[in-house]
Amino acid sequence: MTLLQATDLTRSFRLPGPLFGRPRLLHAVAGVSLSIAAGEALGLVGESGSGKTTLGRLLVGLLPPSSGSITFNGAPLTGPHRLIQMVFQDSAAALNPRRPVGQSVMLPLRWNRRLAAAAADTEARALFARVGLAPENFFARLPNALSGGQRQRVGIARALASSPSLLIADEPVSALDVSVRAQILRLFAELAAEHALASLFITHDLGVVRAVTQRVAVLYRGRVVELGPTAQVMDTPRHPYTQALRAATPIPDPERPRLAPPRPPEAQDLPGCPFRARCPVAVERCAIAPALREIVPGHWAACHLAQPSDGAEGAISPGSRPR
Amino acid sequence: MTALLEIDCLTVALGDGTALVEDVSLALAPGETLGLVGESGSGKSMTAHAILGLFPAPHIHIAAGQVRVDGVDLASLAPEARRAIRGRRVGMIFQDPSSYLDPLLTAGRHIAEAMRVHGVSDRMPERVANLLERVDLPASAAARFPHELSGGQRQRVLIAAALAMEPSVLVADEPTTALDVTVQAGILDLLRRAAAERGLGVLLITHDLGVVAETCDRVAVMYAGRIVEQSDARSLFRAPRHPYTQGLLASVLDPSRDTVPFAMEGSVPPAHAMPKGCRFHPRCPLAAGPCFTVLPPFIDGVACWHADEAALGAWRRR
Repeated sequence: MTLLQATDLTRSFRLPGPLFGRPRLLHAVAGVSLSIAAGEALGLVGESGSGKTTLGRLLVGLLPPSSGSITFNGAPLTGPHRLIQMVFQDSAAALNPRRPVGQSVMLPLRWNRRLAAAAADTEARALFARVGLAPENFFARLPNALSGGQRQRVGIARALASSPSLLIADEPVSALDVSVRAQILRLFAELAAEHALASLFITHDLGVVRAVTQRVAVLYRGRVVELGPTAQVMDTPRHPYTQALRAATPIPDPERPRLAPPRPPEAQDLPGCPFRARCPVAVERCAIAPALREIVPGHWAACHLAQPSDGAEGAISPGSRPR
Repeated sequence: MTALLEIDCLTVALGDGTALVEDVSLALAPGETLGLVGESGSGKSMTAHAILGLFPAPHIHIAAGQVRVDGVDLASLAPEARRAIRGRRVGMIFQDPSSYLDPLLTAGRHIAEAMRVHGVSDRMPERVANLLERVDLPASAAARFPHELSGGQRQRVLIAAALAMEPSVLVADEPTTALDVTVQAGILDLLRRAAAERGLGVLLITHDLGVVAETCDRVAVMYAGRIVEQSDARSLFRAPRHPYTQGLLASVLDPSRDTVPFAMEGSVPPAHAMPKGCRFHPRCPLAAGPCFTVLPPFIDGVACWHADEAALGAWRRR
């Protein structure tokens, strides 16, 4: 069952242009269609500037789209919704520094769930215990008396306080240490299962995507260039950009052959495929922007050259680029 | 082969005597890349600061031990002579390239300045052009200001400046942490080439075991201010021996495999509240007997009282 459906979303921002000229437009999100099923974990990966944070903000209703539409539970989404909650990257900035963290978790219980003070207190303490923070130790503390991992647990408890059906997490673990990161990701996975919670994981880290999502959308310059089951996209990426990302992501195996680094991003835009200027296999056809098409069932890519076979012969499999 | 950089039993402490780094020994050979890995609070950056003699606060100091560059003990040198070694013998790059570039200087001026402070002043445009070429930047980058460069290009400018005096050692403290992976791959490739082609010794400080696997010949793992394991990269990844190293490796999220992330409970203790005995014992599944009271000695590449048992897999019981 589709919980959230985004159709042809775009969002542009005005950039300061030349003094008397027209302001330039930055198309942060350029025609994205996505759906999230109830209980599903969808990953949204891309590098800086890919538009992933803007897309997250559109989907949570924090930012209005320039065009396109979002429906949630079958009704149009026009702004923040109680059942869509967000967990942020910077847990320190996301919590009021002067408010004890217990209070931060009680607020949505009082205002969103309309609980009386005593009931909200009990419920908030239960949420603290659930996210692994002993309420008697942590409830009255201020955010700065907590470690990054503990603050992120508070952020998760606060998001859960509204009993959401969709959790949007924007780089929730990228500020955390390796061992703490694993703890928080496990917590996310457990909570999603317990509450039949759908989630959107926005991240630059393919490892995070593989660990916690079932499907993944790869974003490049505001467009979805590949979409499919996570394991399939990671193991047999169909778009040259996803292949470059996969090849560039370090893997804890010193015996893996070292690959030549991908081409750096180009400053100037070529018409057509957004990846054309960096693409190692671009051909003439790429001057016409490719549409997202289904390469194998459930696995989509926006590349003229993507083939249903694994493409081991093509120059675009991740391991085949010469040094 | 003589080591370019030797750190002997280094202890770095706060004014009140609280140790941030304790009894750390490392050696770096020409052409070698040594990874210093650890989570925040492990003391890895403080070790780098000690090599450079630059600490973030005035009351942090070297309380014991030696740092030798090309055989010369840095503590025996006058401040002037120590400054000459920085940059000339030991180059350095950091995580956030923007904060190390003057926004009012072009990239070319910045690189030239790195040579001028060491008394080089002739053939400057030619030298700058050569350095830019070495870091794969076009010659036109010399005229660019930092805000006109991308994060990866800025880091390349800093690498060019760090290599300008042909140092024998490069200390790189989380050089790619702020960069996208496709950009990171280029920077790591550059560091590998500098080590392979010029015999540069690289001390790479990072929290990312993937980066270590891609770049390093040897690895030292730090936990709570001490080195807990040190070995060549292949053995460390194939057969980690310290329970902490094993836990850390199992926590790494590998996009090429379906895994449930392994979660070691707890976190690195703060410097002022170090547990007695082995510093890892509160989180360790094998903690027993001496672990609670006596620091394990560093023997044969690992500091663990139960190294033999740990070698079989410390976390298997869970």
